[in-house]
Amino acid sequence: MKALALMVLVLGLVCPVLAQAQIPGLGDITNALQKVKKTKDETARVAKGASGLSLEEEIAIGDAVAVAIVSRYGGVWRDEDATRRVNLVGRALAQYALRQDLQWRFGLLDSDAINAFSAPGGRVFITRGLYELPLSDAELAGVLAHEIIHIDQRHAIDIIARGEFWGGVTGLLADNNASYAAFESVVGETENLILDEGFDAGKEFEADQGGRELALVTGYPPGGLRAVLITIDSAQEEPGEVFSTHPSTEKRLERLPDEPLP
Amino acid sequence: MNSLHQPKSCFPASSRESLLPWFRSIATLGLVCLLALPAYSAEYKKGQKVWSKHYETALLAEPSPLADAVAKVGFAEKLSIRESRGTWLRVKSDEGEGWVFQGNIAVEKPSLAPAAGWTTVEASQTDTVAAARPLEPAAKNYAQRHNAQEAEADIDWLDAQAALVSNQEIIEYLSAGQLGEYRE
Repeated sequence: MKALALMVLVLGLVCPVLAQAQIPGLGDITNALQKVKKTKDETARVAKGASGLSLEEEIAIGDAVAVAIVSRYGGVWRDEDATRRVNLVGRALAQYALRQDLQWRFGLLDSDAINAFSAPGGRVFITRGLYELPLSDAELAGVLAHEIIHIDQRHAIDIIARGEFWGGVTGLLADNNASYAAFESVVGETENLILDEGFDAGKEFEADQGGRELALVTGYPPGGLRAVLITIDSAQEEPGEVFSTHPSTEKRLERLPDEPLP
Repeated sequence: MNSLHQPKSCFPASSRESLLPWFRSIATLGLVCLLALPAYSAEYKKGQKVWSKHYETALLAEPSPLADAVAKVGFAEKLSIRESRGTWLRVKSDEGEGWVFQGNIAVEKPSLAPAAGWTTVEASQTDTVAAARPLEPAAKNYAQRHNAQEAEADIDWLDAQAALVSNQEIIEYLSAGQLGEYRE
């Protein structure tokens, strides 16, 4: 064992010297090793993603935000048939989403409010109030596709990455007090973004447009979301909370193509 | 004193005012173009480069999900469009040439691979039920710290329900509804 360790040590010291001496063959090996290192670095960079967050970190933040969403919106509506339906429609759409690195999950919130949310990492929620409008499959697809685009285009994650509360934090999931505090901060800001402030209008319109196209590619009539917005906009009664974290339905309708409703 | 602290501008005030409508127009046009950019482009051109986005994508002999696979490409492989027919594209790859449904390719190179640890199911294992991925430990700790055990239990229930829907059922749902590549 000692002999093996000694041999590894000697090789480690000698190989760079030999490579520099341009001994035929060894230069190629060095180049190959450098390529391997470069690929490894590149892989690590890509694994971290453009936002600087690893996939594991993104999913952990999303899971914690999901806890906050469920807590604030009456808990999960435990209707097995409805949950199965949103997962069938949602995962049919997600089949053609850009991000295939996520395990997409769709759920219903036991709330009369009319709203939908997406948490980073692939969790999408819609409220019972929205689900029971009621929604046809095309309309449900329109709503879910909009939320999928928020995750697919990393809307929340990009904002998190830009924020001061994120700057410089590494090892977000490490088991220590500093990491707990950083995690709390990031989750709190993300929760605030998703549940209180909402995305800016540009990102919402991008999600409307992208969602329409995702629904279309999946084979649903593209006017599903538009139909939902018209239903809400034309409601005679003054409803309670309606897409409070989204731009006005009027503005969203202005930007969607005027096409036949499903 | 104030003038020293005013931000420098490339344009004098009068010029700025006269150019403002132009800036607004250009900005509006830019925003319109940005919004018009399709994330899932439905219009493809011959020679356009696109990328595979699934763990494995079959290139088929015919533009039909039932056609034989003539080649298979892995994640994020560059493909060149040769022809389009409805929602199908004939593409060329290093592995061969064949048809692929447009929903199975990306117009931008995907950066994160469908890692087995997260997607749980490979493309070839569509008849298996996806394992329920539980809440991340950090999120569980978060729930404990915020006394949100009920929400945690709700999400556990939701994950178990979601996991009951197998990938094979998704394919059957798409096929029965003539959705995705199964539309006629």
